[in-house]
Amino acid sequence: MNLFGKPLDYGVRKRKVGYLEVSLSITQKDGYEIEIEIENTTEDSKFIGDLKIGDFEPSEKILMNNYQSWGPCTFVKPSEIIKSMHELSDNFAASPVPWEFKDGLISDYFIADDKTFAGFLSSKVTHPYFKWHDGMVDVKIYVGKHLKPHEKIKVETLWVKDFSKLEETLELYAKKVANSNTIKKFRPLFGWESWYSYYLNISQDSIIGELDRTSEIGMKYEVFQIDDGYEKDIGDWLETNEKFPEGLEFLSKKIKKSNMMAGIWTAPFSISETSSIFKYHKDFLVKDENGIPIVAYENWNKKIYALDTSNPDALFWLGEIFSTLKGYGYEFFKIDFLFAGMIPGKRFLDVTPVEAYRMGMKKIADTVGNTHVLGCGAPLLPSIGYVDSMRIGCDTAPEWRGELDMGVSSAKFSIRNALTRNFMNAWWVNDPDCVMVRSSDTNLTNSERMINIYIPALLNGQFLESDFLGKLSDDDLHLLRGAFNFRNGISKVILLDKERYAVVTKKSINGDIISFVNLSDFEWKVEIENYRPFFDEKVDEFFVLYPSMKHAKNEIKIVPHAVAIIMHRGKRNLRRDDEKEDDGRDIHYYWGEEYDGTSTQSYNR
Amino acid sequence: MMELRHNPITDEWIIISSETQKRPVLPQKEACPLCPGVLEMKHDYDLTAFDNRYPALRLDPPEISKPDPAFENAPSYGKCEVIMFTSDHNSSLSRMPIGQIEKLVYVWEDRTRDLMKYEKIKYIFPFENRGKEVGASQIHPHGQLYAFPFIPKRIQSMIDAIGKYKGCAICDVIKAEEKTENIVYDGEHFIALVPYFARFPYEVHVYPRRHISFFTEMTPSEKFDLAVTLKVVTSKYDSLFDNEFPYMMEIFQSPVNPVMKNFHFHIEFNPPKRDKVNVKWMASVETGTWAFINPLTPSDAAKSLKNASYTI
Repeated sequence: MNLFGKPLDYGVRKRKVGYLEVSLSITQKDGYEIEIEIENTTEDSKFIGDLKIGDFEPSEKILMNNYQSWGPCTFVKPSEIIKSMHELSDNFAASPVPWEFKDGLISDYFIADDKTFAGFLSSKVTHPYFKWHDGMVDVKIYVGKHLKPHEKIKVETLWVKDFSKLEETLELYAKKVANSNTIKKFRPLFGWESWYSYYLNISQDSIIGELDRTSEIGMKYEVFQIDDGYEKDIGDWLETNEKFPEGLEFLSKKIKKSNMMAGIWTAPFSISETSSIFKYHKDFLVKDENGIPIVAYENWNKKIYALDTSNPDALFWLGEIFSTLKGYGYEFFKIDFLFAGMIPGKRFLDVTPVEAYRMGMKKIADTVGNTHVLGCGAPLLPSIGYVDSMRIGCDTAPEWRGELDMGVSSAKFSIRNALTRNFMNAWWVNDPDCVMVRSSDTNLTNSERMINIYIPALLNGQFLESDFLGKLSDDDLHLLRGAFNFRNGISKVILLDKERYAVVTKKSINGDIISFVNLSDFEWKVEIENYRPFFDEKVDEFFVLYPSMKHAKNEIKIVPHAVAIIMHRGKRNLRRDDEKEDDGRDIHYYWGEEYDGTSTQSYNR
Repeated sequence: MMELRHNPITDEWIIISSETQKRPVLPQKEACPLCPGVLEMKHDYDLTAFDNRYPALRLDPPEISKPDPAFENAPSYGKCEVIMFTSDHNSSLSRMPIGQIEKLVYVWEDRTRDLMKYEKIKYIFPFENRGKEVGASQIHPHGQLYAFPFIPKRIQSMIDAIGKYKGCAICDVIKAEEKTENIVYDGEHFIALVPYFARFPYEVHVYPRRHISFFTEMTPSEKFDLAVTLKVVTSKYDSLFDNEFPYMMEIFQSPVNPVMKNFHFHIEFNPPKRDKVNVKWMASVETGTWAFINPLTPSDAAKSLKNASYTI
């Protein structure tokens, strides 16, 4: 990598770039860490947009990452896809700097080629990204605010490392990012949510019906979350539509009575053109240079504008929404379409889009306090510390949809991102999106359904189910219960190529597991022994294929769109502690190697 | 009163134990004496085995007085243990993770190894009574183990049958049933089937394919497969009528002190239900003559169980 035209080496470098003096302080820490400071050297206030720090010539294939939840994290050959990127050049869901797509491909926060990894450790002030164009990668940040005369700001730290194993480097990156941010304490939850059964067609009656069925099917759901469809309009979160005559508090109390956390969906930084808040508070919106509100995106057949979270009145309004919902009894907040809060534009305060976004996120997090926040459609690095869990892929779907890898709903790419972004579990609980266990009303094959259900369980992220509970067959429910026993483990994902992954899971409820995920359209022959470096040998070792429970041979054939789940077993070593009761009776305590007091908790009520 | 009394008419030993009358019956979860920290276990646990607070047999039995010369009695020597499958009150074999059942198999093995060291113990019998229909006094998943100082009557009849049979009856039953539709689960090392001669409706036998006599002879792979088989069978039971299916699960190992080498280890599930609501009672014919009337054709029971869904 070259920084200001010179190869990477430790030391301090300064360079004049237009109005700015950019200082780089480079130290060697498991590679190189580059602290970046920029100063407006003029006597005038200057707006700072994007800034190039350095560049490098990558190999043909790169690992690229999109900035927000839904976007892809995958291996690509940029030269092959660059033409299709052009159409993203006005899409804020694709990038906070979408104009860069006009002549390039963006990888946000980090990038890797065959031998070099480069990643920024935070996004608290600026938006850091890498732009591939013409066979080169530019290392850039987008600031998006004015600097006062001689104002100096420290921006995001860049980490660069040559690697031999990408997976280890991603883990190290995750640790470094975690150390550079304040992480919330979190744990994965098991729940039900309404989206993939009802979509927008929920009603008070249907929600109550599903609530009743949660106890009938005997699963121990921790969360019951109402998704999009209850609100009067996007932005008017506390007003319900005619399908919810008794309002949100009525439902939260019902859910709590069923011993679950009540969950509610909102898109708090989004305001539709038809909402009351749009009508009465245009001052709450992010605007362009001419003072015209900027359309952040279009959805629900409406133009959606962005909340200016630097505006104290807008922030107060935002706080009131969440304190009211919390007051109603909601304890699980899925906050969606968050990227709207980070679009570039003119705001009440002269802050960067990232700073504004974090003001909004802080307001929500502070207001809901010790409850659970699930981020979605969210810029990744700026959200760290404000969410307990985070969607890390596109919407899933009851069909495979393996063609368009652009953040649109797809069972394939939802799971692909769950695999490639597994390392982000260090920042929050990864939410790979809902599992659908239903065998009817789905176009997924049985093997695709196994991937959709079992990979989220194995990766031990959020586990939210979304089916019509009354329509689940006995076999569907058994599949869900079976998957439940693959949770609680620690998984490492081996990135073999863009469509084939190995997952090595230790200490799941069902013990150590090795899984091979074939997302491709071709059969894959796997030799288990080739993956020996990733798992330890066991005494009297044997491998069992799940769910056939037949012994696995060394070579396994995996059909397209399928997962091979292999239980790695051996002799058990139970610890035994002998005690005497006061009345002289013997009591022998037996402990499995993995026992932690929670791993045997069953899924049933 | 605790003592063993011999019935000279049938040549069988009866265990007299008024202690067992004192045991608590089906308490609510809040008061479950088997949950961690409530009564039996002072702290958290994974699995445990402990001496029954209300034993029918004990290693230090009370002294007995000599009866009329017409009768024979003996001290209630032996051991009655409670085996906790999990600390999770709401679980069951059908719902426990396979790994937890696998650990239970190791516990059964350890208890067998431990108790066979007592020379006066002749038969070690782990079992589970599930459901109030078979007299389970607690719903928290647990089983029991009786270590007898004598060979119980039905075990003796198995031994006698082994003596009369050329070869191994269970090995032959496996070969014969493998050709039928009576297989409920066809595991790697174990097979679960409704036997041709089932006594109870929905009776299932679990046999190791290898001719082994004890838990202690099982390989880790066999123990794992036994755990899988037990989960499949009990999960299918629960699916059968969509409720918690009551059963008696009896584990038959070889007698000990001395060990009988040609005994084929097996497990019997004897469920009392004949359909969703009705129970087949051990009535006069069964109790008085030991002749069983099975109201359900075994092959029909096998078909239902084969089709029942299950969690694994």
